[in-house]
Amino acid sequence: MTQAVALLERREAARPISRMTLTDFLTSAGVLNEARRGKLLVLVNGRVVPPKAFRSTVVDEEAKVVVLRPVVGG
Amino acid sequence: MERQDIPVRIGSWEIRPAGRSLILRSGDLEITVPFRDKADLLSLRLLTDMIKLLDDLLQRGSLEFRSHVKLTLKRLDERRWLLSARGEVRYDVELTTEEALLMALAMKDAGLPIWPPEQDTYGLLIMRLMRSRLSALARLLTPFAHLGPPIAWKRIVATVMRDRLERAEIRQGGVMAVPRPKDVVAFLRPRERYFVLTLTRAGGSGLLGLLNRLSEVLGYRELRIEADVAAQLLIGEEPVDELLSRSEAAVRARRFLVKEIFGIDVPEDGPAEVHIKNRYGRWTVSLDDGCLKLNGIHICIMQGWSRPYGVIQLPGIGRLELDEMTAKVLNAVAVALWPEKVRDRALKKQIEKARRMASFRRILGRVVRRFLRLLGVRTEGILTLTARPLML
Repeated sequence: MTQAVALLERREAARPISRMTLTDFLTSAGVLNEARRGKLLVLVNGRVVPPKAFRSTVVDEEAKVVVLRPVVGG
Repeated sequence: MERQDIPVRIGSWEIRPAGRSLILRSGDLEITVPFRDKADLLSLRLLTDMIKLLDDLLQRGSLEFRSHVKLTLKRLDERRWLLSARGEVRYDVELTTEEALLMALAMKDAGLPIWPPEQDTYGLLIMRLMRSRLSALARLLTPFAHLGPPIAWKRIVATVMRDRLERAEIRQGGVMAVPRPKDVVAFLRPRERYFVLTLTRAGGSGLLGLLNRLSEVLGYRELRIEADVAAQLLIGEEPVDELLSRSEAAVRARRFLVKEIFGIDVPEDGPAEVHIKNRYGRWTVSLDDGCLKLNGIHICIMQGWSRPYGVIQLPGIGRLELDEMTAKVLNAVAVALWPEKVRDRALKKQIEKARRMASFRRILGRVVRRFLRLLGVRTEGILTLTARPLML
């Protein structure tokens, strides 16, 4: 139960971003490691961002960031 | 003598079929159980199972069902019962004995497992299936299945709840989470012919979280819910997000996201589909279920099961964890836009096959057209020729 509350609180703490690197954004969303390993699709303003560009990509409140766990063929 | 005139007696209960209903009488108690088909050809096993459930409830004075929601029926006094739901859906309603019996039959027929499970392994298997994604399979294994026409349980739940329920809270956090007021993402209230879901503008994840965040942008605060869907939601037959996944509001929200994220306009008045054309051919993505087609050929895709399925951050909306279906829709659009970036072998194979098939069709069409031109036949002429017998 404590874990569940902690998880909820962490989710709330990771809310609005002012200006940060994509690496920080992914860290706060708890998906950086997976994204670095190429297991997630990361889009910023409609463009795919490769893992090597995470640090150099800056996102602010106006940025449209999408992180997706890719689909697989059935 | 009509079949309907012959009552069946099991224990203290007298059972009499009446069209699509079954009238059950015991002492002062009388309940009418509606069925989805004629109730004159029911197996004895179904009847004894029903009576056993009713007698158990009356003797014990309490019964618990567990699925996505924990439902407890408890006797308050001789005539009053309390039905409580805890978990994703939360409410307390007072029922009469007849209503409590009907609700117990409805919940059992909906395939909800009784807690604690009666037969160790079998009961636990059903419990596990019910709480996983295989609830449809669990329903097939339940004792009432295949023993006669199914009970119209959605009608029972909707009718009883319409009379008794003031409002139900829809929450995020599940059964185990400590209930907090800010976890309430919506209220479900009954109306005369349907139910209304009022969004609270709270929630940080899932479909209801998304609908809440987008409610201002898309201009809605209340969603109309059909009585059948409300019944499923109130007894936790399916998770709330899954039940609302194909709703109009969900489609509108996905249409908005596709426009915002990929810049693709999906007209409101057209079909709920995204159309993309590139060198691979024509792609279609359904906003209802994320179904993906390339050149008319279905591409089977599955959303990875581990969470988060997706996270978005949009201006004015903030950050949000996506529900499974919305993530699948966005993923399908991404596949259509950048098929060369697909890494999964099975998916790549399907795309290549659909692409080759289209190229083959195109080449075949070109060859046939050229051949016909050589013969001096126009394509329109062929169409007329093939159409004529049908017209006759």
